[in-house]
Amino acid sequence: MRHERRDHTLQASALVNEAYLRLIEVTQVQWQNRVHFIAMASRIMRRILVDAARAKRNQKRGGGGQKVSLDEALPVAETSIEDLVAIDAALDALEAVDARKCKVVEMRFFGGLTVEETADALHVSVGTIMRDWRLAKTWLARELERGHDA
Amino acid sequence: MTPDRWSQIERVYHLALERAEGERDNFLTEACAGDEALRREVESLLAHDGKAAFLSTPAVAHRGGDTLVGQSLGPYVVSARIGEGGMGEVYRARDQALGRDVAIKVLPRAFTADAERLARFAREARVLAALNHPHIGAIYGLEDVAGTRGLVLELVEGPTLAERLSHGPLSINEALLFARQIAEALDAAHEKGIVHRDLKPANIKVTPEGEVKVLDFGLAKATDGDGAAPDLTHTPTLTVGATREGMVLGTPAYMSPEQARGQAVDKRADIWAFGCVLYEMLTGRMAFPGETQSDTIVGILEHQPDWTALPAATPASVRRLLQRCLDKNARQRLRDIGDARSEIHEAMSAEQEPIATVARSSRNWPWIAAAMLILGAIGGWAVSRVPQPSTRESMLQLQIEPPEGGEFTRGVNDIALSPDGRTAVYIASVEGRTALWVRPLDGKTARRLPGTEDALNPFWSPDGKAVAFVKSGKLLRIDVAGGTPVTICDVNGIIAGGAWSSDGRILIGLLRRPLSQVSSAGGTLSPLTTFDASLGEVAHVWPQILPGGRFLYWAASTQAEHTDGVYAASLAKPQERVRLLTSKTNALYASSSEGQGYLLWWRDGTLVARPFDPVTLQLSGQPRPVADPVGVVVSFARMNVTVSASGTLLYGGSSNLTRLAWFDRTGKSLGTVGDPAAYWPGFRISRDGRQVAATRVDAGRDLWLFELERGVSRRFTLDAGGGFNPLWSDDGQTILYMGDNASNLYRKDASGPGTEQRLIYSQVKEDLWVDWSRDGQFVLLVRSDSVTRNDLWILPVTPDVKVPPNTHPRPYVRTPFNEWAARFSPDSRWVAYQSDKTGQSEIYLDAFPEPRRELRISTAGGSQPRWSASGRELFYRTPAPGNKLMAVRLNPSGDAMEPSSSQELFSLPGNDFDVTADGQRILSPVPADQRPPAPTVIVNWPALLREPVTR
Repeated sequence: MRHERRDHTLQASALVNEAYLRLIEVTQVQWQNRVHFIAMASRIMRRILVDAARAKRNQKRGGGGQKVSLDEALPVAETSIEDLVAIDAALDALEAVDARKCKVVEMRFFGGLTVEETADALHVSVGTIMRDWRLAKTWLARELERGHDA
Repeated sequence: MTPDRWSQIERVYHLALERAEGERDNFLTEACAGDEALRREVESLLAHDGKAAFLSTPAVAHRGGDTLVGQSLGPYVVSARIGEGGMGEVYRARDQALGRDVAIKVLPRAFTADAERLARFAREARVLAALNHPHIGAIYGLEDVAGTRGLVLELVEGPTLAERLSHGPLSINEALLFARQIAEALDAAHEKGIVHRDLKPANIKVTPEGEVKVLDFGLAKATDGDGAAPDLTHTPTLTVGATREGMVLGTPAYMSPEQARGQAVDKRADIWAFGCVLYEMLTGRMAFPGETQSDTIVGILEHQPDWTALPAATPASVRRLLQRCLDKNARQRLRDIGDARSEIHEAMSAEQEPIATVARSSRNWPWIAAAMLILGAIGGWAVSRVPQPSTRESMLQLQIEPPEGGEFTRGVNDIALSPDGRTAVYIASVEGRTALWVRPLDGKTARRLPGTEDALNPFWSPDGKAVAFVKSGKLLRIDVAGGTPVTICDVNGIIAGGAWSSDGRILIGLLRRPLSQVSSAGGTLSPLTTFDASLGEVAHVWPQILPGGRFLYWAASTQAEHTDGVYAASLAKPQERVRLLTSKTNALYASSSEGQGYLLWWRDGTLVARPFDPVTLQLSGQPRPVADPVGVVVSFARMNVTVSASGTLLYGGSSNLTRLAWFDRTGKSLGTVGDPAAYWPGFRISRDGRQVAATRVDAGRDLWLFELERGVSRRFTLDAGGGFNPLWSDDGQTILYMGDNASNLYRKDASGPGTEQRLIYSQVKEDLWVDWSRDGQFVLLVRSDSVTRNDLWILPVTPDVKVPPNTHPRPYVRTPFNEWAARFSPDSRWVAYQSDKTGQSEIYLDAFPEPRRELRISTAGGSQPRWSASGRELFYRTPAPGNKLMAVRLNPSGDAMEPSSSQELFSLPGNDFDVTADGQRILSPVPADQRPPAPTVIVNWPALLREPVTR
């Protein structure tokens, strides 16, 4: 079988928007605000990627460092399977103390939104997002490292 | 860690970062004021600051920054980023050597990884570079750029055609002028075997001199797949992870039908796109607009452009040209762009023809685009299997497991999807207790709604804020956000569906009653519909609100089976109803994302859908299968399907259904009777062998009659308590049966409509009426008491099947042991029954009406005695696991009966059996299904409607 890697960059926000619009009849839904929508869509992306990563991980034990490729039709994530799963878990922990940061990570990392878009969606300043993002990344980096050591 | 603590850490962290590195120590000492834990926390975070490189690239998307600006790439110096093409960023750069500005298109990193693809691309680029056509944007070179490649292109100044058209249509002359140039460009490329594949106004530049340059030629093709070979894994843009670079962001509005379907694409796709562009130049509008990508694709596949939008002065030849270019059938489409060029040329030089010809409208059969694949993101549910979508499949289908820690109780009927399809409320049993749980589709955690223990039949309010349900004889509502349930009204009866209308009314279906209504604010139930006595209606159930103030429901009648059906009426005039279809189960209304309404119902294990207009209440088209196997009716006549308003469908397979099957004495199967259903033990073949009476518990608990010769079945009775334990009269004209929660015995004429009459009013709740003598004189009953436990009693009845006055059951066999499951011999001289006096159930025989001395028939356990019509043979079953059907020959000798031979026939497949009068055929239930599949979710289910495209 010919091995063909499909590696495509996507405008994730467009993808997520469109996909989610299909999933949920946006014309029929009164979105309270755009935040809700983007947050939900980013979260869905997160779920899908993490679910796929878990599935892959379970498929090939000891695959470590492998890239997630979600079916041939789906985009390749740059992050390794292990990291994706660990990030997901860490995000849950983060959400417990700081829901907005979790949203920021979801929107930026899973949803692929820019800082401006995220700020716009969450109705805070760009500076706030950048601070959030910085701390969230730092924290995640630390959690992941701790996870590796554990 | 608490949120407050976190805020503290965060504050200190950011403040520390504002300090210079050298000062941080002191700052931390001060800021933490002795809180060592805080300091450690902040310090460890600081240590990891900037280490999260893995997060800087989004998991999915890759959006470049302005990193290249100011860099040199070979002879080029990048001066600015001028845009984002679908394929990557585009920069303006200065060619130092030649002193001209160029455009550099940075290719995605993927290219560098795939040497083969890169080589292919380079080949293409070379051919393109050699084209050197005045209307084709030139390619100057291919450079290495920051780890990837950059395509160096002619920088064409001026707006794109898209920008021009945003101000309105062009004049006919200008449009034709541009069109001719575009056609020339395409012609030149096609001749060299290059297909553009992505022609659209955004790719066409108009120079200040009024010249056209077509850009991005052939690049779309080069970036994926092989050239000529049809690549069926190419599903277009809309799939998750679109495989078409350059098309994800952009609209698919210029995609040809074959592209949309993922079929092979050749130069005719360019001709199609050319038609779109020409149309747009003339009208200022897109030929196939759509609010969303999917809408657009549907338009491309199904609809004609609005030909009337063309300016009146458009020459007829140009109109014809447009139609030929936009023929959805590639084989019939204009084949050579050179022809287009000639046509345009002629049109430009010919006289204008003022008469507009009416566009020939071709009939397009409904076709739900193969491209409408969407993200089946039922995130949060544990997904047990995500099948690979094939190119032909147009929706995502997942199987779901019940949520963690619980299980679905009776099937998907107990799951209600919110009107916006984002949340589900379901009945789950956790630790033995059922209650309502709420779960957002994208969430991981389910939340129990307090106060909803033992709730039944949940359904949503139209605004998605509340859920109504029935519990302990009351209808209640609860806000999904939280709170305590509020009683709306009392409900007496068995709930069979509820619906909440946006005018604040709640419709309730109850068995044996017409549809009722109550205000959602509270009140009492009042009738909404009335039964049609001429049809012998006995139920209006499973209401659903339709758009436009209408509702539909399912009605059951006691006449011949075919009058069960689905009706619709308006809330304002509920009596004026329209019969929509004949159906064994309820129907559901759902609309696709395009706003096409459908009616869905169950037909022999398959879910079918048919286009339906909820306003005119008209069905159109043909029923088409949506999914199978679809289970039916865990509860009364309701298919195991639930839909949300947003195109999500949830269905479950059947569970524990069986079919009544015939066997001969060797166990060879001879055929079946009736539909798969959940049959209750106690079915009986009539004495003449022409009919079978059986209770189905998948549709309430009703007796059904099967006429074997005609192969017809009908519901015999409908009652809140049901109908079971049928006893045939000898002539097959009358059936006695039990039919309610008491132990009353009813009688009813077996043929035609009739009313049931209560024969016996039993004071004793656990009485079980088990047999009726052939001469019609006695009925056998099993009655229990605390001392003698189960015993056999008898009751005389009159020839016209009535109980004489002052007559009561009297004991027949009454011992401290259990006796039950008794059957009269055909001559009424004997009764065969089960007794457990030996410690396990065995078959005994005793004389009737006065027992003498029981005679044991079975040797190693037995149950369910059955007589043949001759009275010479007795059948029974051995215990599990053997389940053997035994046949014992009996020889009467004087007043006694002597069993002679005992023969083992075969293993019975089911938990019950009956034998024909001649003892030659045995009826027993066999499982109807394989293991039932887990409930399946289909998102965008209309895409499953399969129909071949015809022209």
